[in-house]
Amino acid sequence: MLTDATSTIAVPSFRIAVDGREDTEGCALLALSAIHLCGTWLKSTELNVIGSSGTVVDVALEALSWDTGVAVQHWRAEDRGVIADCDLLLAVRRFSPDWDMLAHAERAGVGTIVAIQFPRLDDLSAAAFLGSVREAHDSAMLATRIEARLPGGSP
Amino acid sequence: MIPQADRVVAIVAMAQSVHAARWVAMLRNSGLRIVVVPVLSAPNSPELEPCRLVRTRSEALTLAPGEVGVFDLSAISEEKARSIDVAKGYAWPGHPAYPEHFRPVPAHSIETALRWLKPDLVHSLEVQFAGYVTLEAKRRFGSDAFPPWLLSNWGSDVMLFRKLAAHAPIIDRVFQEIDAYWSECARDIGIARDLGYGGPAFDPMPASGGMSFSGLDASLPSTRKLLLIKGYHGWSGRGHHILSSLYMAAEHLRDYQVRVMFANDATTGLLREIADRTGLDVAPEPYALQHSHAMARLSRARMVVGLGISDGISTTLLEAMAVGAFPILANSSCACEWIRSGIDGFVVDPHDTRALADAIVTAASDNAMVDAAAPRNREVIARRWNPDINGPIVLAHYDELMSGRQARIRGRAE
Repeated sequence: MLTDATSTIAVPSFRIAVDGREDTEGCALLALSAIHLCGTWLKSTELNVIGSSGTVVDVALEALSWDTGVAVQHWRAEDRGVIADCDLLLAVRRFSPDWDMLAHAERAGVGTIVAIQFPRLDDLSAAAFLGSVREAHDSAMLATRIEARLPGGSP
Repeated sequence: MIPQADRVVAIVAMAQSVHAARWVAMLRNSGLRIVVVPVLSAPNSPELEPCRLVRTRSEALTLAPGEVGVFDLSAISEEKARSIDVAKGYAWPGHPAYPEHFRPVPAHSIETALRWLKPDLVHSLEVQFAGYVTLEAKRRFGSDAFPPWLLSNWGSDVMLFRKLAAHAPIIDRVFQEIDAYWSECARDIGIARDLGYGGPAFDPMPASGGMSFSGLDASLPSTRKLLLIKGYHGWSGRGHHILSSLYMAAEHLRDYQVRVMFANDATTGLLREIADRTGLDVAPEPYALQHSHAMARLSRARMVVGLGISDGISTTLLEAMAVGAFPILANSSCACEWIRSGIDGFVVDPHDTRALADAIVTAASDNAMVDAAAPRNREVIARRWNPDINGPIVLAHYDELMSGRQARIRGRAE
């Protein structure tokens, strides 16, 4: 198994499912910025973007792919089953997580990075995500967490 | 030499754009007959006044000194023009800033305008609207029958759009057909060369040509308590990233009033969350209807922050530099061609909210840095964004193109 991303031997491909919503609760653009910061680690990574909010996210994905070489697959919002085929679920949201997405990941044993901005403090389930607030705003910190999950990524 | 008054320059542009109007303002007293050919159906910028509708070259030649012509689109049936575009297989590829059903003025209308005006030079201001439609007009004329064509690049025109599959092949064709290229950024000349463009590329100049400033506040930036934020969040803007940086930097910004321009409902909701959770004095700022009011507000700001995944110089940068507001922008603009990051402003990765937070904190706390930057930045603006300096440069290049001296190697205009 390869651990060095600079190796000349191809690193095994890694599939990340990304919550693609950019709206009142979805922060897909911040998640994509964190992925952007992963830079060269992304060479053999495939993004599976679920439920893109449309042009705004699609333009960001085209630019991301052009800049980093990361492969992008688009999925409709209802195609959450793809999470089971991925190695990681990445979502940045506001107020509370999407519990249904988390359930899909749990059922398939897929690792998750879910960061929440402004978690609802009157909702104990959401408040449990208080520890993720910093990385929900700090794309560099979030990128470090993503890199740690990538094949050959920093621990 | 042909007298200027016998020369017609067709400026294919968004006639409602203040940038286009300012470019035209640099030229209106040159003696050239300037006719704006609008690419969008929208009211003209008030700064285009005095202007008059014209349809033909002979009408353009009757324009009074200082008067600008605007091509009269009502002379051509839009419905018929659109059906001709369809018949000729032309379809505009869209723009992420506009709804899917939005369409600019038909290519047939632009083609007809250019046939009637018989200009000595066609200058397209901006690529995705003016450039694309001029490309189609030139295709219908035939390359050899088309006047010399100068293309100006604004903002994200090639930097971002060359990355988009629907636009990349059109941009390639544009660069095969133009006779000269004028960008805002040296960066974009490199992109044009990478795309195979081998023709003349003039020294970069701001899209708006130049601005005259007078009577604005010259107070020391360190005495100012206002932080202005550009709130655009969408296909290029990353206003919500700035809000995340403000959230992280909040404890260092207690002495400041943070105001966010262009805040939509979603952005306003986030501002409330940040205010509630951090105690920061942050709120949306009403839109300034008049440019003089916007500049007066800017001149009260200690710093201005804008962030996007692609930009040109950014007018925000130039205006901030003109009034002593410390600029913080993304490195996806060509701000680094105007300021030294960490000295005259900050230029940060648009994807790195922590780096932006650090830059904001430094600009909020380092009085000596912001005070020292202000006079240097004002001097740069007085020298490089000055209509009295840039206007004659534009006229000289126009003259070269109309005289055929800058014709491309293939010698089309000789």
